[in-house]
Amino acid sequence: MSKNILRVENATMQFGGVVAVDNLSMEVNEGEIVALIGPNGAGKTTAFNVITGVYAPSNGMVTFDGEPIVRNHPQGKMKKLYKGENSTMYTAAYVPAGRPPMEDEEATKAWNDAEHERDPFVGSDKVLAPTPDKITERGMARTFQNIRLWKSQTVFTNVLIAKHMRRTHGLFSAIFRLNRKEEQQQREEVLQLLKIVGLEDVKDELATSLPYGKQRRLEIARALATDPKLLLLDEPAAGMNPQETLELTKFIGEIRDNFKMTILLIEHHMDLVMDISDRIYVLDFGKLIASGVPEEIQNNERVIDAYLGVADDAED
Amino acid sequence: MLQKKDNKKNFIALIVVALFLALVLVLDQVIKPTDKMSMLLTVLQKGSVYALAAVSMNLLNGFTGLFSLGHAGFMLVGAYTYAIFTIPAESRDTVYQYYDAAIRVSFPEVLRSGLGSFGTVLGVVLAVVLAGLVAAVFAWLIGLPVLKLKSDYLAIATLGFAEIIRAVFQWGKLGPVTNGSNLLKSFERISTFKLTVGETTIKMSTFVPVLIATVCIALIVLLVNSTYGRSFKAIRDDEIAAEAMGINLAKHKMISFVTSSFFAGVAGATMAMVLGIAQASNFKSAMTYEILLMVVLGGIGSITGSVIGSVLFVAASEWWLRGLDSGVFLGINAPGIFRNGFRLVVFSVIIMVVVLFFRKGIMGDKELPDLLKPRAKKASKKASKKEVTK
Repeated sequence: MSKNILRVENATMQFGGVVAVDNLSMEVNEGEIVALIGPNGAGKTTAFNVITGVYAPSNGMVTFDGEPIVRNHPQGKMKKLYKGENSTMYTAAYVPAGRPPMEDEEATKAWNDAEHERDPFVGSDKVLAPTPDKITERGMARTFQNIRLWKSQTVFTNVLIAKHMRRTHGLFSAIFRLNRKEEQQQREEVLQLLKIVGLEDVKDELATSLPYGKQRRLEIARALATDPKLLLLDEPAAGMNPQETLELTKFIGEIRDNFKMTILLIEHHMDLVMDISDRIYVLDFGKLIASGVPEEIQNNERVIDAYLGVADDAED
Repeated sequence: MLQKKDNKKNFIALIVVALFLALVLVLDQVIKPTDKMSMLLTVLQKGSVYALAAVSMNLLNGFTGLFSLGHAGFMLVGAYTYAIFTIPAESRDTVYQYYDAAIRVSFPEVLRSGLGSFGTVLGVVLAVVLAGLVAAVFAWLIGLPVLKLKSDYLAIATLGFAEIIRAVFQWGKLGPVTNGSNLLKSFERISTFKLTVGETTIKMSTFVPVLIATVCIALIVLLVNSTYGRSFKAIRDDEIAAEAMGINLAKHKMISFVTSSFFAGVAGATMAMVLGIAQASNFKSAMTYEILLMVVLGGIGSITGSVIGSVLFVAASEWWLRGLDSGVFLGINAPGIFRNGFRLVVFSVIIMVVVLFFRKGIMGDKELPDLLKPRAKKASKKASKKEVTK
């Protein structure tokens, strides 16, 4: 089995009385395209926001590339710790060696129940909740459901700014142009990237003057410019017509092949999801109701009840 | 090849700036204080102070999208720092007539004893840099709690800071340092800036403030066009996207705030040396609004705009419209209409007209080089090649 790059364990996100994500566990392996689907309001984007550090989860842990990046976090003004299910498990700051893979449910349960040498932070208040920029720095880049390009910038600078994080020079060198070499190299990399995604001919246009489909492409290119290991796409086909969706499906496949990229995506277009995903997780009311390869999901009773049955009628 | 083209462009820009500075130096010698044209020098002096203040405010409000109204406060800190460290020893006690002065160091004086007239220059430069640094330290301390706030709330908090700092500097208990509510004077000012080479004396009373402003604005231009400047614009355009693309919001906002305040402090110091006095009650929030007006008139997000806006503003209010207050304007003698206060009426009307016809300010978000570039060329491939090497 290939290496496990993203692992979400019992993630719970509570807003006041609403539990937007409830005990979500999932994992993404290197080189896979994994889809997260579910009806409107199922908590898909919230799950994304937990993974990318926009929200600190009430409970649970997110591990990226073997290292924990987010874990349970006191919520609200009273700094209350979550008291629900599994709430004692994630005060540890790292995954101890020897934890069995999550698919092996029995072994995981046995491991959780057994006595272990836990890490020194057990029971401490040490909080692990980095800001989104720190998580992007570790190699996780995302796009947004409602396109968020920098509107006063050209296509080229939009991608170039994403390279800012990978700078090795400080403010002083930047002002006095001692970083020319690095800057030149970054510009060439950006140009190369734009060539690959097919936006080279419009690189001096304002980002917002592009047609919708190209703006989506640009957002993906911008995310790729941060040199990620994992790409998170939040509804990349939202608002696209069938033709554009088809192109996008091809494009996502190309990205996986060209960049050896692992991709996690949220999507509503079922044909796109079924076409390119290796595995699918289905959320409903914040809870994981099914997971598996596309064929399994298509035939899963609960999924059809919650989602596909309605969606199929609407789409056909 | 493209690199060479770029170097050539920079070279031309450098020559233009050098020629402008030389012209100012010549004007300094030619125009006598009694001349009618001496107003031009005043406009250049005050214009450069306000241009620097406006450009530094634009760095924060226009380029980083942080709406801050604390500028007068930082200028006050800069002006006082400069004044305190350049008052010569013999006038120290006359200036601090009600207090026992705590700080008794004058940079120009100390350095003059060792290095002669060059020491004076160095001392003034040191005092100006220190003025910027002190303002920057204040900004850092204020920024820690305040920069988490958004838009209007940030404006209110920084405005509050400016008002508080003004009151604090006038506080009697701080008298030994700030001279309480009395003004600071007798420090190094522009009329004393002279260079003696053999027999001839070169006056530099306009040259020095213009030079300070030019150097500082050049630094800001370099910052804005650097990779950090691009990130500031990203934060302005979409904060959430900027953070998701790995830009550390807290750090970059702080860099912008502190840099902007540093140059505001330098502008304050320059203002002190132009006016010859430093008094806390001069740095009211109205000064911040004036600077904001210059930024908006020139175009938010355009450095060229801020410079043009502030020079026009100063020229109009100090020089061109003076006649409206004193009876004779454009050769029309009408003391009944052109009397005290009429200038402000006309001035307000002009500002309203400008805002109505230039919705985005005089320059919009364009810079001078954008205007020189022919339109047809912009869309062609030549322009796109430039982008790569810039």
